[in-house]
Amino acid sequence: MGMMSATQHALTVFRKLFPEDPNAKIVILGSVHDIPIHYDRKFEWFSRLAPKENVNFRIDDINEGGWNVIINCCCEHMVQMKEVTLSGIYLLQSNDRYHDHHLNRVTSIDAFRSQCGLDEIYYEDSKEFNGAKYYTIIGEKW
Amino acid sequence: MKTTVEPISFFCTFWGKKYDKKYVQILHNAVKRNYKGEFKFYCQTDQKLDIPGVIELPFGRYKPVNTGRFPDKAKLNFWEPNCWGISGRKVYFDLDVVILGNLNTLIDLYDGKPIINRSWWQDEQGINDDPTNYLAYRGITNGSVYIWEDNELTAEMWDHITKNAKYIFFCCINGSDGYFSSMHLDKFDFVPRNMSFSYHNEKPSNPLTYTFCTIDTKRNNAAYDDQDELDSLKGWIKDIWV
Repeated sequence: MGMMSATQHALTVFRKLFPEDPNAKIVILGSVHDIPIHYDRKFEWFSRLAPKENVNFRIDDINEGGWNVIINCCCEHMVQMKEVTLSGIYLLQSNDRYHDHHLNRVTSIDAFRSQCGLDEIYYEDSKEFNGAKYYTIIGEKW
Repeated sequence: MKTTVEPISFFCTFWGKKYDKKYVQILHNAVKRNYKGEFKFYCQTDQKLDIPGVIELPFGRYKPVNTGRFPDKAKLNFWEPNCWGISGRKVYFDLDVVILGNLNTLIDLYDGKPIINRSWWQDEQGINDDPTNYLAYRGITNGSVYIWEDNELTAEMWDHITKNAKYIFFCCINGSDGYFSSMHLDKFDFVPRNMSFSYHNEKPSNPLTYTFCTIDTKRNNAAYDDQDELDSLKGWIKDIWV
């Protein structure tokens, strides 16, 4: 069995806290890196092939959607998650890796938390994966 | 190919302390030397220039303030339809563009799609082979030169800009080129390869056959040894930049 990825770690912790719920309406922001997970809608961060789908310019549409579970393990690729105002459970992850794609890398859990705009936080951690520090926060917006 | 509609409107923009106003004067001189026909020359600025032939324009919707994450936001103003009440064929130059030859040939290439300069030299570094996301990158467009008329394409871009400005200014940390390359690449034609080059990143054997060159910041494997601004360059380019 290979090493767990940062995304796998986040989803594993999330499922321990929030087992699958048939009433969940899940929106993925960014990507879950091919990890099989049921979702109702995904907004990509990668704009080159489908620019009109880019999550960064769909925030208003997202906020008007009916989703109550918001999963974003790619926060480093997009605007601060306090821009998303949907009421629901949030799984959010970012990291401190330097990369041309990373327009919003963060360097501490405190900095990341301040971007999330959560009303309640149920879990957070900082762990190293593949040479970078990853910050995971699970919480809720009311 | 459409015939150029006159008078052409040339634009530049000038603020802050990076350049002296002589850069505006020299660009205006270069247009006078290299464009045959009627034209007007405008400069979007917050300063009093007092340069004969240069019409000063106030900043449009986006001011050059809070530019930390989007350095050239004031350049987006040129895409506002009928901005400053000006219509017709429009041409924009950055102040660090050096015009080397006949502008009419370039401007006459306009065929309904806005034309933007292209960082052709980046192709050799494989930028188009890399499935990168231009949004946070500098992009393959090079906003040193625009040629356009207000139409549905430019209106669509302006609409996207105004609706998403808050997010654009956060995401596009290298400015307008990352934005245009990511979101509007299909709306542009490019300045042809044989008409522009990057002074600091290429070394063509026949520079004076090109229409203009840009004084970009030097990248890896740059052809020239220095990366000074125009003011301190020497040699043939300094003889032309007057």
